[in-house]
Amino acid sequence: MSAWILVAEDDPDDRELLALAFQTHGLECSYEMVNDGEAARARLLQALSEGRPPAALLTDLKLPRVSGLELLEWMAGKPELGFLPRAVLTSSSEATDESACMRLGCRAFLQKPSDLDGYEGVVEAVRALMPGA
Amino acid sequence: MPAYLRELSPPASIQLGRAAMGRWCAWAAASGLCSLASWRVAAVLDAAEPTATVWPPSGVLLAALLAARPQLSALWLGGLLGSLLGSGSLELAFLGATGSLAGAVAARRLLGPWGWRRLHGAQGTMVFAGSCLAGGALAAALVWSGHALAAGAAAWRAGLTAFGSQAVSLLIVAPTLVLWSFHRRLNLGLGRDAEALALLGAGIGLPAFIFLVGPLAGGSLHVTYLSLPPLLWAAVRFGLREAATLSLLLSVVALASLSSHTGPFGASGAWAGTALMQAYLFVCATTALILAAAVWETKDQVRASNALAERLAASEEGLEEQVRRRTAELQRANAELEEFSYSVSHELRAPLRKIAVVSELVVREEGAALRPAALDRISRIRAAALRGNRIILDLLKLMRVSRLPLRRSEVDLSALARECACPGIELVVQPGLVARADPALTREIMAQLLDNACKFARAGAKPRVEVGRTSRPEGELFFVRDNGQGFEMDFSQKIFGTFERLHSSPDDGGTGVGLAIVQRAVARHGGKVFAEGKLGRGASFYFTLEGGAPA
Repeated sequence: MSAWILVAEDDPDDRELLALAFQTHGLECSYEMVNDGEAARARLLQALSEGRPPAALLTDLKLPRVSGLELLEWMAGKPELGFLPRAVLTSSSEATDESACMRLGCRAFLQKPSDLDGYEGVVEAVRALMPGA
Repeated sequence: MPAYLRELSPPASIQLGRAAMGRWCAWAAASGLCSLASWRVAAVLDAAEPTATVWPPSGVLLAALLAARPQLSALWLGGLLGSLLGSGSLELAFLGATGSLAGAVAARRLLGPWGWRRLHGAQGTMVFAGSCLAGGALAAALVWSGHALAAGAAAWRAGLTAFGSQAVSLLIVAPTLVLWSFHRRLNLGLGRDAEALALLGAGIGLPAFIFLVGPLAGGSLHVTYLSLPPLLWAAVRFGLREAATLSLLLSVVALASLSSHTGPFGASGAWAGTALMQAYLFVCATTALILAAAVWETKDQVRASNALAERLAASEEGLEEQVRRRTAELQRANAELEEFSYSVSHELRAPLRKIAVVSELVVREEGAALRPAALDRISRIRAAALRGNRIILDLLKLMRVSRLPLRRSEVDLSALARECACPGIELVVQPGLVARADPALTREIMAQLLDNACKFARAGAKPRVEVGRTSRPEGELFFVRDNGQGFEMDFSQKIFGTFERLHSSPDDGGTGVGLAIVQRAVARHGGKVFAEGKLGRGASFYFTLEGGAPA
């Protein structure tokens, strides 16, 4: 069973660009994308019950229904998810957002890139999240 | 017919209405009864010469004229009949009725333009007293001139006492009646009741002691002024009405002493005693009235100024409350606006970023199949999108500069400047530039100024940027100086405006927001920033961080 990462992102363009970046820069593991924080929560619970949790979580901040920040809060309150490395990929450049995410246990606060080289950096950062990296 | 006479004379409808007729008869009866009573009292007081002491009617008539508008004919005819019944002499009745009415009408006329309601003030009271004197004198002159012709040598005495009795009556009886009829309520408390009773006792007792029963009753004139203290007491502690009332009581006692031939005036004989008594009463009553009016006026002014102060305080409070409310509204509106522009900025960035990335993707994936012209256009799309993205980032930064709280601490500007060094450009930093300022904002100031300086210095042959501190007439200033293309001094203020650019080169990477950020960040510190330059000779940006510049 190979490792996988969970990605919470609602924008179809961003999903496509991210998928392309994972493919182009050869991310070694599979990934699964969900549309919002609520779906991410459900997927995490399901994965836990199946005994197949993801190796990392990457989330946007602005998500419908349950935002990325709310998702991170929820995860922070769940000890059984304590092992899960998490990072934020957002268009926000606000220092307040960054500090809030870091307080909630994020390993990285990544900005959505505005060029293709930037996407390589994102893939590197995701790779660095994985256990054993 | 003058206005005052029209005012005083009966209306033309006197014969018409039954009600008017009834009123006429009522006033005639009142006047007649008053005259009859006063003649009876005069006869009891001074059987030998009753005319000398008939003084109440003119005061009563003046009070009636001031408070209501009785018909003069009713007053006169009633007075004539009453006097005739009282004195039994037609001549005395005519003189008495005419004299009393003439005195009252003259005083009313003299008070006319002034208004008796001004009696509350010291000035009004003096006018009132003067009007009574003049009214009494006028009546005496009119009426007794005829009588004096007939009476011969004794006429001067008669005239003198007639004038005095008119004046005293107008001064003492009229204000007492008017003030009591218009200000009926007595504002007495428990302690006040006792004081009022004590005052009444003193006001009757002391004059009675002086004039009627005491060991001094036959004594000298000097002791008569012992009756002044109760009058002053009434004037100071109570008011005009009480002072006038006490004057009236004093007059009654003095009259009684005259009739019983006791007291200082009673011993002097009828005519001289009456004249002396009238002068004495005039002095006492005037003193008491004017003092009371002055006290009342002062109290009134104090009350008014207290009320004004209270109103002022209330309105000040209201103003503060208003300012608080408006400030809160303004702050809320400001916060909403900030929130809105913040979200708009963030939302706008996403599409620009996608345009940039996707156009780059197109070039990478399909570049080989595209003509050079198409590739060029796509690269322009990408550059424009990236520039838009950068502008929005800078605008967000500008908003942050205004929004975040200012926290001062020790900031090393030299270190900050070295962190912002631009590659390929010589940077000279004066060591030890320290200020008490907000670290984040100062970093922003330094970054923007150095970015700006590098941009312009780069064009020169030996690009050089210098950061330091200098002492100028304006004070201690930090500066960032470059040896680039400079600018004309005419534009030195304009360059701090948002999106203001002196050089229209869109490819220099500038967004037109950087110097606006600097200005706002400096203003947040309470400092100032300005630029100096010369075309082709470089530019210098000076700034202070108020209180932060080391001495």
